[in-house]
Amino acid sequence: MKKIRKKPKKKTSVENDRTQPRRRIAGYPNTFKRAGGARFWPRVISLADTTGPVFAAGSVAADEADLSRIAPGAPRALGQLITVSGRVLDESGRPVSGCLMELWHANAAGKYIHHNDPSPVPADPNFRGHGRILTDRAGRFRFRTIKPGGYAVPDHEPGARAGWWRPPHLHFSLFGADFGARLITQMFFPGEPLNGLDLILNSIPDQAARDRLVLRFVPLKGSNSQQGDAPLDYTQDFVLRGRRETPFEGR
Amino acid sequence: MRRLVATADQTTGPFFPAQFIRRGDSDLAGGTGRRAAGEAHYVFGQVCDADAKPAVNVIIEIWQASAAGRFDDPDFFGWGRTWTDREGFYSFTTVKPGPYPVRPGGNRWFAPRISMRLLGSGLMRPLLTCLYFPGEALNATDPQLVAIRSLAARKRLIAAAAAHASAPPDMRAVRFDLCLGGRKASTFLEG
Repeated sequence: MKKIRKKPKKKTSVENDRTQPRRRIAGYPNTFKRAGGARFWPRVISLADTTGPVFAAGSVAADEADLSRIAPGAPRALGQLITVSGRVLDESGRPVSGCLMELWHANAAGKYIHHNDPSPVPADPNFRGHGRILTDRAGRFRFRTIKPGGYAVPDHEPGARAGWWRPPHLHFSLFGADFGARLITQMFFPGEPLNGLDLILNSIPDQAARDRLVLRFVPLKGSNSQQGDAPLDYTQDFVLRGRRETPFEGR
Repeated sequence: MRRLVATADQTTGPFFPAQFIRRGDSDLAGGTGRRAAGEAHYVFGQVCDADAKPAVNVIIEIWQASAAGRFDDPDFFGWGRTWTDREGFYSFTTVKPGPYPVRPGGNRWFAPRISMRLLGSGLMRPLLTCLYFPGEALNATDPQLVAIRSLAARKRLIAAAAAHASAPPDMRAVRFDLCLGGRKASTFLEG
């Protein structure tokens, strides 16, 4: 008797999820050198994934959420003052409170405060460049900073896309409720002509997933409450991966 | 209930602020000012890329149980972070984590292990791996190791007993090298 063999179902893996970026990007040579091997092995979910570090409420100072000056009362950095606010949620839509968020980005001219940034673009001594916040009980956060500039990516390395520019973007790192929920991402600004050309943003195949990395502009409220130096407001929510299935029982 | 789609990962890029890596972040054995209970270890290794060149400025984050096998031990902060130097080397000082049961109260155990997440320029998504200690009897039945069918790939998750000049004399040293790509790539787990 002939056995009928069912075609094996194609495994849906996070490795081929269209809402996540490709690991290798043509024109960005470092991704080919650091993308892992030919295969990824199944991860057995354990307490190590469903727990994570808890950062105490007092471990982040309130002024760390303001990147627009190096200290309270110090002169303000150059550029357009902005606020970036939103909520951190899990996949069920529940707010993630006490989430440590780290933010860093280039100054208004497109230069980072980092020994690895070789560009001749001017530094801004009044720009803090990095900040942190813990989300409140409703999962909310609000950073104050300046809008970063875009910048030309060095393209001398073989395989590098000639003439690639990074659009203005903010780097975010979120710790979430457990080690498995950690998120490192970037947020972009609406209406930037460079967004459609960016190799990194466009490494995500799914359009809706890319759109969720673009901040929304909050409509002006009509009166400038902080006359002379009012910020423009941007918002976006972050969704962290939820807790995985209950721990695996042996085979 | 409709599930939300998780926000997409993006690379840290090359400019992760040095200020975010604090003194003590790579010292889990005594970073909080108190010496943690357990067997102190100096964990180090070299990270290379697919071309076998040292991978500089790779951020390595770790998460592990205390020596008592607890992830909620009030006397142990099991998280650490460091980055690779100009030669691609990293190091942590920590205590060997205790084994912990697969299910609470069960009799199957995870061997002592340290979860690792690698971030950096060119890593569009983090790379996840796990360090196991050499010579542990529980390695033979650890559910994560057993789930890796290739014996060679499984073996690459086990650190080697090693000596290191920077290791304090009272600490055992284990070496865990990592290769980020190519034919000699380390064993990485699905994200």
